[in-house]
Amino acid sequence: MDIIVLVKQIPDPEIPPASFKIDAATNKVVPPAGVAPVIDPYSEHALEAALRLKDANPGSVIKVLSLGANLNKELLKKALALGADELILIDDPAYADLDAPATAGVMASAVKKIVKFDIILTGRAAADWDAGQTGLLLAGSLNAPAVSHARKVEFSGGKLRVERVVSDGYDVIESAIPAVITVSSEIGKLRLPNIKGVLAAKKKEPVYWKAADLGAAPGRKVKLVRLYQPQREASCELIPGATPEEQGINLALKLRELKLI
Amino acid sequence: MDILIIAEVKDGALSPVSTELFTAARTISADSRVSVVAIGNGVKSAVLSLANLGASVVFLAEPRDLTPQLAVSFIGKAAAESRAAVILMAESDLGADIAPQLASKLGTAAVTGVVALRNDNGQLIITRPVYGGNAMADFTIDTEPQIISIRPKVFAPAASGGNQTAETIELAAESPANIRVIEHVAVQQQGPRIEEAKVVVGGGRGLGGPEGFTQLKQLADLLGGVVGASRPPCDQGWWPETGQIGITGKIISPDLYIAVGISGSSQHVSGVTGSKTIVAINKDAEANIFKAATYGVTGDWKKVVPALTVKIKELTGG
Repeated sequence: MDIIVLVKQIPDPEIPPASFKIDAATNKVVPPAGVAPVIDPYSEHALEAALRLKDANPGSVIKVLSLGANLNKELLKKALALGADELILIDDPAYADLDAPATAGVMASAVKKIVKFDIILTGRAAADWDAGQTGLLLAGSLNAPAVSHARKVEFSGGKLRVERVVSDGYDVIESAIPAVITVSSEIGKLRLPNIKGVLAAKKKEPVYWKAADLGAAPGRKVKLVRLYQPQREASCELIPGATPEEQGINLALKLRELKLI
Repeated sequence: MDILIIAEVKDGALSPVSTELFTAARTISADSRVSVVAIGNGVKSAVLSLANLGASVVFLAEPRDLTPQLAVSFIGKAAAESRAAVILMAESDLGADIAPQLASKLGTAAVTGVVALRNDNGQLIITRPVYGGNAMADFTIDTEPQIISIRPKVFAPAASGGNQTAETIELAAESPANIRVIEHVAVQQQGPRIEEAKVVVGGGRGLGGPEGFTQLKQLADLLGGVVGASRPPCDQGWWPETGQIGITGKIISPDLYIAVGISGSSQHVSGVTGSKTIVAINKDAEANIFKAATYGVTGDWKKVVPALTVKIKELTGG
């Protein structure tokens, strides 16, 4: 199988809320000093789905695509260490701050340049903007079927069998290839690289594509008017009590007084 | 500003969030012409209630097997016919899937997971949380139709205006041959769904292990509620991922939310702010959860929760 995985580099989403700052003048997030970017957690699930497909379909080729400005090569080479065959970094200042349709547009150009693919895997969303759109928009651009929120992806008899997470369980979906699948966290964690993989990845260099290779990004359709931090008022009433047990009892009495129990 | 609402129908009944979309439509403009695509099974039974909510035209879409691709095909036709400037749908299993695909098909853009809408002199300002709830973003969409998927329970259900009529138009669409739903597997759940529960007891990293959830379950059972968890217990396998509360899990809005041993990451807090009363139990007085809570207990949950449970049992005769 020819597999393409879209992997996004994002600011670390696990930083404490107190370290999160926004520059109101530019509507941009100010990266906290000393905190390195990470691979988006949902992208890691997509990569794991790709590796499992390769395990089950020997001879498959995985190409990992990442798009942005100032991409961290060493971070993204983790994909090579885990068994991806090629890492393509689409890195150009012209591709900073794209909206979802423009991101999908650039990705569509990149996929067309790659020519051959059976399946494109991406996270169900990215943990920074959390819009959940790129993969589905890309499917639209490529006129390929799309399945979102996958928790299992298998290929047999020339078809994909995908389990899609829905609120009360899951749907089993059969799709022709080529298709675009967005992967959910339920698929499981990304495996760890082994020493052999890490050493092999050290020798491998990513392929770089620039805007000149793919064409200018389409203009923004969605405009960011304002980025701001929500104000939360601290008006918490603390339940008194000399001991934790007494606090527990007083809490029960409070809930009764409020007619909540 | 004409508006097209996507109303999901199951066995002839409107999904609760569909009625909330009418409130959103009125927020955008009080005198918009509202058309609706009723999609699902038994859609004809829903026409009267849709008319009473304010729909002047109801497009009926009743596919045998509903794939998002098929839904996009139906809605694309209704969008062309209604010439709506705005298309509203719920951020549901279906809505989250079709908003981007519809945007692609119609050559426009979508904003998903929306929590607020404002009409600023004819310009629609669309708000959604980003960066795990650490920030809010206001967007505008420069192309039409503007496609917006709205989180459940952000808007109140619209009141019925009583005995209106609506024109009905049946839509036809061809099933795409390249994709199909083979089966739907419902995973058995005990009690109400967490998104709909009136009482939710949530456990966090502070529980220290899966055992603590047994106590939370006792408390929740006593209150007729359900148990959920923040992200760390789900990552650790202490509690199923399906019960994860937060912006990357389930958004809840119960009457009472009791957060036990939860420090209150932004992504968790953003998922619970719709709760009417939030009670936080945490021994760390500096924990972020106290900023979101109405009532707080700063103490060891291992001592607070059993005392609370016993006293509630006594008060309620449970």
